[in-house]
Amino acid sequence: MTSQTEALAQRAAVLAQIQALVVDCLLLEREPDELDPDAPLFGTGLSLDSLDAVELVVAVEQAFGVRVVEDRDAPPVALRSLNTLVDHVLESAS
Amino acid sequence: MSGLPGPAHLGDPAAELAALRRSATLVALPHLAMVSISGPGATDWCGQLVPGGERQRPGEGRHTLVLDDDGTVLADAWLVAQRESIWLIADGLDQAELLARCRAGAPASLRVEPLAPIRAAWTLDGPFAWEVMARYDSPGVIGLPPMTWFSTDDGTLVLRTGRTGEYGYLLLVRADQEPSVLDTLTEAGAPVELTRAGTGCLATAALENFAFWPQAEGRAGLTPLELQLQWRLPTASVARGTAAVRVHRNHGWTQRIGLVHGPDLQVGDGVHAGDQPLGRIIRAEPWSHGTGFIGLALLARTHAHPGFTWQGPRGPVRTLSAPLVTNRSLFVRPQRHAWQDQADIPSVKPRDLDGASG
Repeated sequence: MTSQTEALAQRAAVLAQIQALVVDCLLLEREPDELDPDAPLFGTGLSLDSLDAVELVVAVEQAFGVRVVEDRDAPPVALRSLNTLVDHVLESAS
Repeated sequence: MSGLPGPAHLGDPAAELAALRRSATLVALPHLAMVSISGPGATDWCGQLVPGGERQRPGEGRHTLVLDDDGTVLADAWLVAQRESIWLIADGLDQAELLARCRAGAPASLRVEPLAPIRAAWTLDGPFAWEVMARYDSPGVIGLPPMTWFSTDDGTLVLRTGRTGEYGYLLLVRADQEPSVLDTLTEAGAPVELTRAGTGCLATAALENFAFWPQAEGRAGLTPLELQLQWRLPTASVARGTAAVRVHRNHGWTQRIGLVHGPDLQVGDGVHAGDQPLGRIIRAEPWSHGTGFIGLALLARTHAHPGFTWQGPRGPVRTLSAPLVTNRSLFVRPQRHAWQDQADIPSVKPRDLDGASG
């Protein structure tokens, strides 16, 4: 249970960090926890555009030292939502 | 009154879901409630009715919600702003309920009229839905951005939207034109194997994409906070119910829904971490791409994170990030592809949930 507690805390911390990053980087007039973790980032949901995507990718890559977009021809699965970004950051770090 | 909900399927639910994922489906939505609001102050009044209504400009659409006064979600909703009127379309309320809600307290200068008797709602969805629309109207429709609309020559209002993760269009057809519009759509869809379907395939696709489905989690009496629908609420909205949502936020809401998978899930099952109750299953159905069940669990926010295994009465309950599939529409580029190329375009890619980590 302790390892699960630690994993939950780690996951929550990365999510909170990415929520704050999105608000700061995209100058959103929202509280970070108003950004729902499974809401789509593009199209519907937060309705970010391609320029937002570039800024977000750069910010996440700088903050966590990971590559977010590996293959430009593949669908950007990691950018689907905040939770998929957290998945990607945690998987890249492990 | 709006009509009864359409059937869940028209004979073969698996084939209808496969068609939605592979080509395109056309589904009747007779249960949608539809109201037209016009006159001086219509935009401001829409802002009182639903979040974001005050921001509508002609030509735009908006995906919004109808909230009860306690902040719980009553209906999924769209606004369609035209030059002379704004249409409010709701999935979750019947026609009489929506009309009464829109008329209650409305300024005398406004006309609030039912649309349902004179318009019929259909939805066209799938990775090649855009090609059906292009054949039905003109190739120009493939550039239509989400949440914008246009009118066809036969008076059908077409809103680019969708809840399936695939390309989608909500069609508001003039009732007196409905038979001929359906004939034309069927003819336009034949080259891409357009399939008439029931609503079940839409509901399943919505679940797999974590898109809100009003006839399922929408019946659970939850607010946009628990439903992860805060993005539908502009910060300064004064719409009915939004003040209550802000109160919930300020007092710290404690639960959130998320996707789950397990060998056997049923609505109402409790979810635990050891002896600690975490929440319950509020939606469940067989996983169409593999074994077990997928669903939604309403869990304590502290534990509502993907990638963890909790316990249910019938076995483990694994939390997952959305979506559960990579939609075929993500591989389709309307400017480059057509149905004739479809054999070269990847199919929908389901997640391997047995080995899923998040």
